[in-house]
Amino acid sequence: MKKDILLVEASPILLASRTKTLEKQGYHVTGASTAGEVAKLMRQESYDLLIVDAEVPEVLGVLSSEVPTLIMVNEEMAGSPVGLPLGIWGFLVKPFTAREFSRSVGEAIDKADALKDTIQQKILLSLNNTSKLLVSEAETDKFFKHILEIVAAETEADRVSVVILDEKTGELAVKAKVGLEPGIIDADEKIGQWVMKTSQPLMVNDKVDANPNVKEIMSQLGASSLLSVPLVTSGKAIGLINGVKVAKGARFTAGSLEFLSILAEQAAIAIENANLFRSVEKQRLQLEKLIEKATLTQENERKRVAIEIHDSIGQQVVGVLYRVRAFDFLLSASRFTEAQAEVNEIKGILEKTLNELRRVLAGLHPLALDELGLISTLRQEVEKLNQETDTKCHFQLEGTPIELTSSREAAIYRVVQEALTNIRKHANATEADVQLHFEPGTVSVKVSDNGKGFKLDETNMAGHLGLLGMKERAEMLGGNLSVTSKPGSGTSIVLTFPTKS
Amino acid sequence: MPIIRVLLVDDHQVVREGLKRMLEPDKDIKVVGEAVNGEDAITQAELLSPDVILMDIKMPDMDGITATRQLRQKMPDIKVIMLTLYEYVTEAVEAGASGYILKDASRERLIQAIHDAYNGYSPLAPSLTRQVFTELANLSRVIRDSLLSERQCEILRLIAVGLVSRDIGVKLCISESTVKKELAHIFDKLGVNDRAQAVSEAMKRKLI
Repeated sequence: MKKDILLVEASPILLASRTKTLEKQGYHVTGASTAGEVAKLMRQESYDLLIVDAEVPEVLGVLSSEVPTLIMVNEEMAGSPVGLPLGIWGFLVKPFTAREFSRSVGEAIDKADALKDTIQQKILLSLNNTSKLLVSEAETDKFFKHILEIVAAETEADRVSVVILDEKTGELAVKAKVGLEPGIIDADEKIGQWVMKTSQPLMVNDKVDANPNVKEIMSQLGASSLLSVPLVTSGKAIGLINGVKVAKGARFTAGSLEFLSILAEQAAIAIENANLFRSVEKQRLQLEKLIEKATLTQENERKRVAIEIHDSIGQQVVGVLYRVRAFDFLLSASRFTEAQAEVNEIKGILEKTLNELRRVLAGLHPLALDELGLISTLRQEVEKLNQETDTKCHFQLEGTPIELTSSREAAIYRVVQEALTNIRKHANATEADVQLHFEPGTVSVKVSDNGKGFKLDETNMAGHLGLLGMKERAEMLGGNLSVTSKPGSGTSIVLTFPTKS
Repeated sequence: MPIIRVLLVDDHQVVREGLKRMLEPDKDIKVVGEAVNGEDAITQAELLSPDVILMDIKMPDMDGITATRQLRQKMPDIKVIMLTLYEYVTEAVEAGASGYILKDASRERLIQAIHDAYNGYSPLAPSLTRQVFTELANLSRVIRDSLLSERQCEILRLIAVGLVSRDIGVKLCISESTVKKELAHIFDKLGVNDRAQAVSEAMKRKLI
């Protein structure tokens, strides 16, 4: 490819002759003789090299440090290069021969080429750095656009797109695109399917050589050449970058293929990192939510217990205190018969208080579980229902019991207790079943009845049945609680925990 | 001495019963009725016209403070003693309670409190006096500050002992013109025209 040179020279004669020298060497030369022209041209075009006569008025002020620049100076300026702008790539001290001129230009061009490679590396590096921040959708979009820009600039393609595989649906979707709209829908995806299948880059500069499928897509696209590179991480294609040229005879170079391959590799790593980061972040958020929920559940539980203690035990203790004071007075007044009666009543209240205390404690932690174990405790609950109500309740144990954590045992016990209370109060059932089922990998308990059932919705769960708390508790412990019920056809509650098999 | 007729208000039967047993042996006190919440208390009070009500605070449907406030309107002669585990003294006083006794009070103290309330005094649990004093002090300060600032009071005090504006300024480390500006504010707030009137008005209102 011909290098573009902008030559800035005040003297028309010198401008003409130096242009001729450069053109003879195969460069494409644009001439300018004032600072204004230079500024304008530099805005419009990009040049591989600027050759500037420093004596053109004000020209040094319009130079850019980003464009390689060879500067022609007189001896005086060469002695004190102060005031020259940054980004000067070389000096030519006037006067010089045409040969010296040619050699300096050649060196400057080589230097510029070498630096361009470094710039490419820098771009890739920046790609890698950005990827660490690809957490949000917006950042990912920005990253894809960044890739587009680089590819479009580097390969001079008429259309570039980034296509990514959706892991869940297994479908390809265009995430970012630039340039011409293809004449057909899904063109990018169609190319993608082909490339994804092989996981190999595909470069077609001559349709004649191409696979019929590819040829077909290219025709539909109106593409004269095609470059498509898969994004591969851990041996798996997760998407691709497509480039298309439409002009007749426009080709992708081997350099473009190489460039795109490196870019795709980097981008794939970046995307994978971002995905990993996101899944870790998601897990972290889930954990946070879980902890919050656990804290809240605990706090509610404490509140409930506090109210209960205050309302029952607290008040009874106050009552007893008053009675004891009355007793004290009666004793001091030698009213012994009344004092004796008072003591008897105090005993009665204290017994009641003790029962209350047992009840509150059982609510805090079912002590029976520790003494009898889960299975016997459940049997006991079932037996209690049989004795106290007309519902016929059966307990069934299936599989080989394994040891459970005490919090899971408590959760199972509470769910059964809650379910049996519901049966007692609301279900109007003639039969009920409690099944404790052990199998490798899971333990589950099912409480079902043939009662009147209810319409299942959140309010019922929360208000009517008090099972919502159970559900939360179960989920907190890694389990799952499901309720099925229909008016007229009974209720079934299943609590399942995964276990180590 | 006439018998003091008492109404017990508490949502827990066991507490009411205990109170009754504790008070009954006292020959001057007679428990004439019981109520289970604020609303019930008002109904019973209208029916029985007790001399003193022992009123719990936290009760379902209507709390003791609300009931006390309504009783004060309807039957201002009844003396209400709050009898509670909690400390809501300010609210109770504002609602019109005559006394505030904690539930752990001894029999003697409770009987004394009933007598005191009956005789027009305001029995208060000793453990709460400090809180009441602090709140009273805060309240007085708020009221006074809304009228005169600390500096304005100081200026008036110095005028009362015979200092002129310049000396007051020196003493308070402010300029004489600030003293005069403050004085104008003081006259304005107290509705007076000169220093002598200001001092006497402030003294009358117990501001200095």
